[in-house]
Amino acid sequence: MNREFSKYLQEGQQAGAQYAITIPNNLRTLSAGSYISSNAGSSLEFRDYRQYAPGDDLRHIDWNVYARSDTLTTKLYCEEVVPHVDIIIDGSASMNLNGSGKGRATLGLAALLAQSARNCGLTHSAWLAGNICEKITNSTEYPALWDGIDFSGKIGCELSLKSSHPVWRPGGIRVLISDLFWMGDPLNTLNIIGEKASSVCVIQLLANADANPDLSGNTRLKDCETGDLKEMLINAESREKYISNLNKHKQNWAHSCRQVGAKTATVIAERVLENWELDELIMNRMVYPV
Amino acid sequence: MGFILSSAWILPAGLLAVGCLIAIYILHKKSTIISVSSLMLWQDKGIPPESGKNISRILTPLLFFIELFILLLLIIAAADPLIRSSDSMSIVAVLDDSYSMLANNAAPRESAKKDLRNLLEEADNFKLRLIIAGKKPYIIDKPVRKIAELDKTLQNFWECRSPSTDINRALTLAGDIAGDTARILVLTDRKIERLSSKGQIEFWAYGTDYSNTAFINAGRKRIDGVDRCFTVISNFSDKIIETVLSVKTTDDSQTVLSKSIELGPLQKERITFTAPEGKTVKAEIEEDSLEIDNRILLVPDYEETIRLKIDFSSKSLKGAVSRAIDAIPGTKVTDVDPHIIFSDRHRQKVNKNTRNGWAVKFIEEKNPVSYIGPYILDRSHPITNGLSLKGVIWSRHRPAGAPGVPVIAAGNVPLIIDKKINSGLHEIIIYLNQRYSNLTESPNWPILFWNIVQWRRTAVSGMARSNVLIGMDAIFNVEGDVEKVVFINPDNEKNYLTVKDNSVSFNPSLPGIYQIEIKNKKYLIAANSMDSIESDLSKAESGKWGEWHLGSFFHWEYKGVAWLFLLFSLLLLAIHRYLTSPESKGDN
Repeated sequence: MNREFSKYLQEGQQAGAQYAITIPNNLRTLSAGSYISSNAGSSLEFRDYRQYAPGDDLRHIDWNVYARSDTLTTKLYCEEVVPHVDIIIDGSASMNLNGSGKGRATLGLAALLAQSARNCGLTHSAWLAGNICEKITNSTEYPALWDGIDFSGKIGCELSLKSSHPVWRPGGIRVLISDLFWMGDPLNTLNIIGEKASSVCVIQLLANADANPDLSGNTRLKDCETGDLKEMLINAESREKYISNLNKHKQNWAHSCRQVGAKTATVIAERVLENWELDELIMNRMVYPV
Repeated sequence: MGFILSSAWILPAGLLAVGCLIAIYILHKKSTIISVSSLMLWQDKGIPPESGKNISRILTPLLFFIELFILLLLIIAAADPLIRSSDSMSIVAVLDDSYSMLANNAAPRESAKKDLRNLLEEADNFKLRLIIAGKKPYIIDKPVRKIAELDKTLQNFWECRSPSTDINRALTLAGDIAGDTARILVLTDRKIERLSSKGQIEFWAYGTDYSNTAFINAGRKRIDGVDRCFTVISNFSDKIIETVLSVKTTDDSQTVLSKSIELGPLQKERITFTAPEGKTVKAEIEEDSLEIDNRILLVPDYEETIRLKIDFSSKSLKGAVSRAIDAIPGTKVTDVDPHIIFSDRHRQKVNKNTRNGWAVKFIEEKNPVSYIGPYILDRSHPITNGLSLKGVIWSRHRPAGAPGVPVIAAGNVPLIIDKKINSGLHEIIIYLNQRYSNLTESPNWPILFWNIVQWRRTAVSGMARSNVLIGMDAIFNVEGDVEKVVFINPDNEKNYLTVKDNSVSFNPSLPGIYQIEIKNKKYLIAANSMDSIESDLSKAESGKWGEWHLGSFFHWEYKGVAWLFLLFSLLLLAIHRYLTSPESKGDN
């Protein structure tokens, strides 16, 4: 892995010391486990009855109910889990756009979120959605130890997720860090990410050049992922058009996130890197300062 | 000539602009490419992922070619394109009538005819005036308006036998009749150096630098009873040539001379020979590229014996006159039809046979005054040729006045008077008192009589030279009361020439023997084609020069179509605008 990437991860890890990830409301803190899951488990907290089925633990049979009704019923208790954060990093080439702070911010942000999860006692994993979506080496450890990251994905995040079927821990928090620059219905991606998740956060990370392109005149643009070239005359009109398209795209994603109950925020890489102030994430209750 | 660019000089500048456009595109291709995260948001419509790779690059070469065509259209429009709107053509053609146009079986002339015909066939209707440009160019009166008339006219008039051509004079004539609206076309076999005519004149040459050997000079003269002839043969090529000079009489083909001649490059040789008395001879060399200068005819010089009558009362004067006359060849003293009557008698008996006789009267007066000069001589008068009266004592009575034009005078005292009587007859009066003069002992005395006889000789029927060049005006003296003479050309065509001022003139256009008959007496004249400039074919060239392509001069024949090119360029500009606008569907 690029040595610079390790540096960025370390940087993010350090910045993450001042943040904690926001835990969704459907998870509560108990002594046995960190959190009570909505599933049935073996904690001390009673949850419900069900009819006895062969194989059930005899210690959980409610004898009082049997005495009253001659019916064997089993007590169900809440499951105790340690909440988990899966951080999915868009591994396409656009996330490491040349001449921008996007790559540094992507890794820094991922590391920050991982550290902020640790700060809350959560476990974490990081995934790289490149040409396939796979777990980053050592991603359960401190971010500075992560390895095997490169931004060479050509097929886009959605296709990477679709084709790879990554297995995330149910009930965890899923965070997607991407610039969201692909066509298609956002719900396709959100449904994959949000499957059996307790919450989903979508962080759109843009470079300054993505959010406010400072171009003019006859220009040749090259898509850093596909290599396509486009010659065009960039003037105020075309820049306005671009901004309009970007806003529409963001709105589309925001709408889809609302539909599935995901949180979304847009951050500018260069601003994040300035002093690691994550106002947008705080405002959207993804993290909070400690 | 249907489409021309009247300002074609703009084209190089236009090509420069095209070069700049190509350079811009090449440099642009090498210009910085800016990487962006995605082209997605720079496009108006979404491209589904299934559509495959974006192929916006196809637009660039299309735009380049559109811009290139626009530029080319603008360049052509700037060059002021014109198309022929009028099918009518008015042309004045100057035809080189010199004999070099007959080289190689008249190839230059025939090629010129063919091109002229092709030119006229392009126009639906035309008006052609022809100028035959020989030594003295002339205009053919009737204009030609049909192709059939053209062939016939050219055949009749364009013979190419002149020893030279005066193109500049012909062009002056052409300019007069062409005015400002007709084209002028010169058909020749050489390149003509001429100042620009603002596009009105075009030169078409059909010459080829063939090797040629030719007669460039020849003559015949009777000297001491012998017909002496000479010819000069020149080699105009840069190679050594060998040829055979053959001289034969024309009536019985008697060989006079047969000689092999070798000439080095550009070398000439003069050959002399004696011709049989009174016989016409033909000299020939071997045939080559130009035939007309390979043969010449030499007829005997016709020199009539001048008949003189001497009638003096003074024996001493008679003796002096007789001595002077005896020294003059070609004379005969006779009383029968004398050409000149020398006399000191104041009244002469006019013989019926003396109707053509000039009179030279000597008048001796009493009380003479002697003059020793200075004498005043009319040097334009033939009898003063070679006279120098230095040391001469001339005595005559001082007159109160004297009729006639003084030819020699001492101060205001006429000594010789010339009186023109009529029909070309002259009366020369010499005032001389021999006893008190030494004129008869001076060398001037025989010279004076020689001049009188030669002068008289020029007035007898005939020509000073019987062998002339074609294209030159020949003047034939006719003595006596003759109104018309019979004129026969080398083709045996008989005509009559009117005598005017005791002479007839004609311009021999064909080489050969001409005959003039006056009262059953025949005079032969030989006309030959000899000219060193015309025979030198090394200067002949082929090519077309001129400015007819400057169509702006003939603007009435053309109309401008620049607007059409501008319109097309505007159309392409609109397409270009459409393709480069953000709303263009070509982005995909």
